[in-house]
Parts: sequence; structure tokens; C-alpha cells
Amino acid sequence: MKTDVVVRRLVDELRPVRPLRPVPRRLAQWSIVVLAVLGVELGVAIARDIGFSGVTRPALLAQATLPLGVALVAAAAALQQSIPGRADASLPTVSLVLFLLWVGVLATAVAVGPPPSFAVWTAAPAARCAAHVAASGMPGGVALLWLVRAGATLNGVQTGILIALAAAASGALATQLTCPNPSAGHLLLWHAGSVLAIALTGIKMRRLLTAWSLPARKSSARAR
Amino acid sequence: VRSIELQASVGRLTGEKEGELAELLRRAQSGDQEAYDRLLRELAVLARDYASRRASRLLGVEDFVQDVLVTVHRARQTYDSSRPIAPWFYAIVQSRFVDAWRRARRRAAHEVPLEDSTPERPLVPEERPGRSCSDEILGALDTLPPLQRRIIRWLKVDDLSVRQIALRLRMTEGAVKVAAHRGYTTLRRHFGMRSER
Repeated sequence: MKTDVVVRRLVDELRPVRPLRPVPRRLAQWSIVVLAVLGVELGVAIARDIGFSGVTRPALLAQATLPLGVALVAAAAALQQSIPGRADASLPTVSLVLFLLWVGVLATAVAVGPPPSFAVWTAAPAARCAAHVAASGMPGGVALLWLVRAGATLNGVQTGILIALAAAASGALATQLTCPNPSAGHLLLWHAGSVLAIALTGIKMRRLLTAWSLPARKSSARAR
Repeated sequence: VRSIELQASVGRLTGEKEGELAELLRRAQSGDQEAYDRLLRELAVLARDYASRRASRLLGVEDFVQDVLVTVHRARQTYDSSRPIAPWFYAIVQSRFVDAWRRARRRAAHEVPLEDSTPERPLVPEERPGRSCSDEILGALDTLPPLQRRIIRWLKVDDLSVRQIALRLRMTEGAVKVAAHRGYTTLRRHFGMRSER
């Protein structure tokens, strides 16, 4: 097909579009979803009178700021990646550094504290916390995916990892605030470990994120 | 390296031209078809220039240009009119270029030169002196069981349809097809050809 024909078809297909909203505004929209999830989590914890004591512990509150930072920076990076020409390495790097800092704080606490018992690694809330991280992060993940897909992602793998990291970190934050097990070993393995595992599954989102530009859809658009 | 290359590309689109393209894209976002037509033609020139300076022999340049234009069309809502257009456009161009390059390399790795793909055995049996090809085929037909032989003769020599043969033999059409297929398989084996499966 000649390029002239493609140009004519694209011009015929032209409809007015609303320019994509700026990154801070879309980040604020995403934060509302995450805050709503956190609110529900805290509400449930208060109603059942479980784990709410964790929120008042200064050490846990301090630790909670790190997953919060990871979530916000990773979400901002993912939203920025959805705009061609705006992606840079600084935000993804900052989110990675914050994640490593969180892991480092927990690992240090494990190293300097008394040796954790076997139960710390395997006790009842362990696997439940991992599932809780995934479940609490799901609404934020879906919302972020929706916001990113409104743009035009060119790097599907990196954006997928960032979306999954932001979602999982927000899920970890919600879980950490209500988790009855405050030991650093538990938090390192079942909270931070879950975030890492979920973030890596973000690679699988590549096709979903770049579907707008795949040749198969392009040819169907050309055929119209 | 990629960012240096991107900056070098961006450098080729500066000043008035960039402002003009940004204005055209801004008008296109609000549905101005005339501006959009001009914009796409200008961008096609830039994309063609980009590809021809890099790997025109490996890539189909026009395919690449069309790919870029379709991507620009789908991503046009992501352009922020308060920012320069060059980084936006060349990020798309570079991404499409990398994709096209990978596709071309993958294709090149799987392509086999024509002379290597020539089958060792000819598809049609060679004629032997003193015996024609049709004699050989008819001879091979005689080695088939009577029912298969009759069906293949009617189908291929007398040009009857499957339905007509089914009526003659009081068989179902499916059974006729199955018998014919078995006959073909035996004939292929007779001539030393590989089965189509």
C-alpha cells in the first residue's frame, strides 16, 4: 500500500481528541483510588479490632513511608512512560532505590535483632499476608493500568514492571498497617518479597500495554 | 547511545519548522483534517529521512514510514502542545525503528536461500525412456484395491463429482472421500513422495 493512501485513510479517520491530562493530575486520580483502598482496610481493621495497634507504632509508621514512596514514585514513572518522549530513567531509578532502601531497613533489623524463630518465616499470617498484598494492590493496579493505557506506552516491559511495583507497594502498605506480625523477618519475606514477586509479573503486561501499536491491530485499522 | 542518537535526531528539527509542526498537531487534535494531512506528509518525510540514513537496505523504508504514521495517529492525544514536538515524534520514530529492525533481523535469520530449499527428490516422477508419465500413473493405479482404483479413475479421469460417485456406489460422500484419500496416500508412497501431512 502506498504511503499516500495510508495518509488519506488516517486523515479520513481523524476525530477530535482530548489531550492527555498531565502526569500530576493522573497521579492524583490514582492516589484517590489507593487512599480509598487504604481507608477500607483501616475501617475493616478498626471494626474487627485486629492489627490496628500496628498503625500507632512509630517504627512501623516510619517503615510504611517507604512502600508509600515506592508506590507513588513507581506510579508517576509508569504514567510518564505512557507519553512518548517523556520517559527518562530518573523516576524508575528512584522507585528502585526506595524499594531497596525498604528491603535494606528490614534486612538490617533482621540482622541486628535476635535471630528470628522458624515460626517468623512460616507462621499463620505468612502466606495470608502475601495474598493480602496482592489483593489490596489489585484496585490500584487496575486503576493505574487504565490510566497508563489512555496514553501510548512504547516500553511495555518497563512500564509493566512499574505498574505492578506501584500496585504491590500500595498493597504492602495496606497490609503492613493491619498485619498482626510486626517482626522484621516476616515483613521482609512476606511483604517486601511479595512486592518483588508481583513486580516481576509485570513483565507479562507487555503485550497488554503495547497492544495499541501492534501490527495485527494496525492492519485491521488499515483494512477499514 | 540511544539518548545521544535521539538528541542528534531532535537537532535536525528545530526552530520554525518545529513550531509549525506543533501547531499543525495541535489543530489536528481538535479535528482539523487539512492540518493533519499536511502534518502527516511532513512527518513522513522526516521518518523516511531517518530510516534511509540508517538501514534502508534491511528495512522496507515505506513500511517503516507507514508504521510511524499509524503510531503517530494512535498516539496523537499524548502530545502536550506546551512542549516541543521533536522529542515526542522521534521517540515514536526510534521505537518503531527498533521494532522494524528486530523484525527484519528475525526474518533474515529464518530465511533460507532458494537453492538450499530445493527438494532432493523431484515432485513429479521423472519420465523413463520408453514409458510415459501417464503410463506410470495408470500402472500405479492398477496396484490399488478395486474400490479405490475405481473412485480415483472416476474422479480424475472421468471427471465425476464425489456426489455422483457416491450415488453410483451407494456410499456416503464422506466414505468416497476417505477411500479416495487412502488411494492418494498409496499412490504417493508408490512414487516415493512425502505425505502432505
